[in-house]
Amino acid sequence: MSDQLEILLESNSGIAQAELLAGRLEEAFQKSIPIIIDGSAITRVDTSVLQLLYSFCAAMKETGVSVSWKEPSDELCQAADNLGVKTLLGLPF
Amino acid sequence: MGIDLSQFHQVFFEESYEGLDVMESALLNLQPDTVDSETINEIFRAAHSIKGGSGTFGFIDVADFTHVIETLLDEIRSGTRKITSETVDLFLQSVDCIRKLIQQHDAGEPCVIPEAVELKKVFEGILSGGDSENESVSSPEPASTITEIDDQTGDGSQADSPLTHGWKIYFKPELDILKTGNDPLRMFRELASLGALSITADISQVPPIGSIDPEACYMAWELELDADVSKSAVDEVFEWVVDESELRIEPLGSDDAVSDVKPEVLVETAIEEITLAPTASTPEVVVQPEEMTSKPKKDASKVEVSSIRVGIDKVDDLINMVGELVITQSMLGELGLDFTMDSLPRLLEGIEQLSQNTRELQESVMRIRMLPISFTFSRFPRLVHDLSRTMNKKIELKLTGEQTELDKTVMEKIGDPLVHLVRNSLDHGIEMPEDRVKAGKPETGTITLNAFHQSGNIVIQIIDDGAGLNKPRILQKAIEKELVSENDNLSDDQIHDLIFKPGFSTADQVSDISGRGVGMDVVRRNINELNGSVEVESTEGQGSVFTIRLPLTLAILDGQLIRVGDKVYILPLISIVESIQSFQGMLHRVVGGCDLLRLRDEYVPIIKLSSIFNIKSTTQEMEDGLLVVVEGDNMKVAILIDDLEAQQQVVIKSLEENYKRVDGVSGATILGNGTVSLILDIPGLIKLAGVQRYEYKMANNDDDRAA
Repeated sequence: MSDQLEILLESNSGIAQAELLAGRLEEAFQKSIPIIIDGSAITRVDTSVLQLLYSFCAAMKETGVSVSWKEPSDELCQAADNLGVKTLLGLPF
Repeated sequence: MGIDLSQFHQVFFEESYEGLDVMESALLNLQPDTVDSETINEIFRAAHSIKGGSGTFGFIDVADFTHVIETLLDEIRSGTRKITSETVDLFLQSVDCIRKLIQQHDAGEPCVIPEAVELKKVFEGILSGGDSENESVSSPEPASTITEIDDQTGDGSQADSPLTHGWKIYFKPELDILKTGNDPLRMFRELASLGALSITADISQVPPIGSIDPEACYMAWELELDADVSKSAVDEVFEWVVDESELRIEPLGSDDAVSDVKPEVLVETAIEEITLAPTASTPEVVVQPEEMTSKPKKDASKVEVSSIRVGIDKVDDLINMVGELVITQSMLGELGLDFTMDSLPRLLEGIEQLSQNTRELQESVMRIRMLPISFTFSRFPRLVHDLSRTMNKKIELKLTGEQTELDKTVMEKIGDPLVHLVRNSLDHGIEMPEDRVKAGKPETGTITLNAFHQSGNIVIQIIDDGAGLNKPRILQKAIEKELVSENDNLSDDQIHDLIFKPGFSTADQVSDISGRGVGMDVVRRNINELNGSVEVESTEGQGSVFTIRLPLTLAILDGQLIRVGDKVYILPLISIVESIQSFQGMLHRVVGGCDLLRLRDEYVPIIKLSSIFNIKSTTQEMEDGLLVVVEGDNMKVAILIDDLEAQQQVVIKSLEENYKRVDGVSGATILGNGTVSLILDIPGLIKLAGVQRYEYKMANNDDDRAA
């Protein structure tokens, strides 16, 4: 069993994909291992997914397990900034 | 690729008409002295939806006009401006203007409505000249918590000032907002395009992963927009979500307004004073006629497209019926594959099942066309309100039985006759207040509109407690116009019935209300054309009751098949009183007139279908035939036929649309064997046979003459 898990976010991460992503994030949360979220492919993201990511990051932080980002796309960073959650998600400036 | 918005126009028009009805009804209920914030909110929401929709669909004139009204309403609902009865009248006029504007767009005609331009100027004058700030300051009783916030800002002017240096916004959407396709991210991007935007997210309500609904929105935001833009520009960003969120927009610098108030507090206040009832979220579906989708290239704007809103329960019933039908069809199909005589009972059972399914399906489909008569009644409060003011009369309108259902087509056609009868009661029935007091009646007259079902018909009554019909005057006018002779001995009913004669009017002066060239004869004719009847009962000094009887639907008829010679006709079952096979000794031949049937204690004219339609009867002597006694146009006649055949429901096909109008025939249908059969029109037949109503009445009043 590896000591960390990578989650790749889809290019189009909108409300239609939110339920599936929620399942994957919850599964990852249950594993209690450090998570790397690959946001490099994201070209479109909406409030539902950003809220979900925040919910995940906050829960992970509470349990003391690390979450890090891998090459978050500009679109992802910009959207998080526009929604006021960029800092909360730990995305780079 | 852009979306063709014209496909949604019809829905927009219909929703706007409904919104206008809501506005009108709420305005009529509004008491300027005791303003009910919920009523104001209701009017505001309706205006807001119309403005939003018209802007989206490019009906700029409607959007501009409604915007001014909305702004004024916004000030009233926020307590910064008082409402007066004059303002209510102006709003009512504006409802008419918006309706006209929308109707013209609906008809695809250019929209130039001078009164809309003038009215808009009046509203703009009120908005610019009516110093709402002062009114707000001097307002002794702030109406809501919004007003309190206004007062705290000290200027209360954000709605008036076109530009303010920046806005502070608190936005907490409802949980379901994301599911409706509204994404806060998109709105914030739009705001950011107006100027520098700082965003603080309130994430306190976001649940941890595992218990979060991924499609719900738990976040709230505080935003500061540092830009010289008008409030309306900010409003526009939130236009589609204002009813689904808690929203505060305050000028930057009004520190007390948003940021210092804890979100929790704001939540509480907002729940108290903003009622976020969604405007059009009732569980209804819009059933569009098939043509709308199957003929996209047709110029939809020019075509009169009608649609109907149907409760989802009725559609579910329909789907269940179709399911049953499919099951029966597959059962019969299976039987047919391997049919032996042993299967005959099952086949018969299947056919019986099919027949039942078809009938139930038909009833369900017919129910879809049924609408509550409140759709028609709803226009009368405004009519009575306006006319009673014009005539300086005090009139109370009572509506009962508004939920009584009626076929949409019948409903559309009964509107005008009803309006005429109500106007008539207002003008001729209800007396002036001083006359009423003199007569020992309450100063305020009452007009009651009542609807109920009776024996497969809908009955609509217009009841007034006015002066009643003036018999001597009616009789005098009728004699002057040579409708009756001085020697005629008429009963009260016959005298009252004279008001339905063509050319008859007792109005000495032609007023705005009556005497507009449309007489009561037209009312009766229109109602007769719907296979209905209208009668009046009146007591002098106590009032009148106009009673309209109409069939519930015009599409399907319960018919009695009758045969004359080799032709089969259909009589509406509802018009049949009885049929008589053996009538020897009951016949009275009248020289130069039609034969009469003595039916118990009345005389009934006999109409020979074979003579009227010039067909050869199979019976040689009258006594060998059958007499069917039918009722139409408030009189009975006996129709001589060769034989009675089956009774069945028939689908009415318009003869006028497919051929031309034929006297004595109201329509046609296709029988089970594929032949076309004509549906007889009893009042038309009576007219064709030359039976005079008064002769009939007199025959029954005077036995000797008949015998």
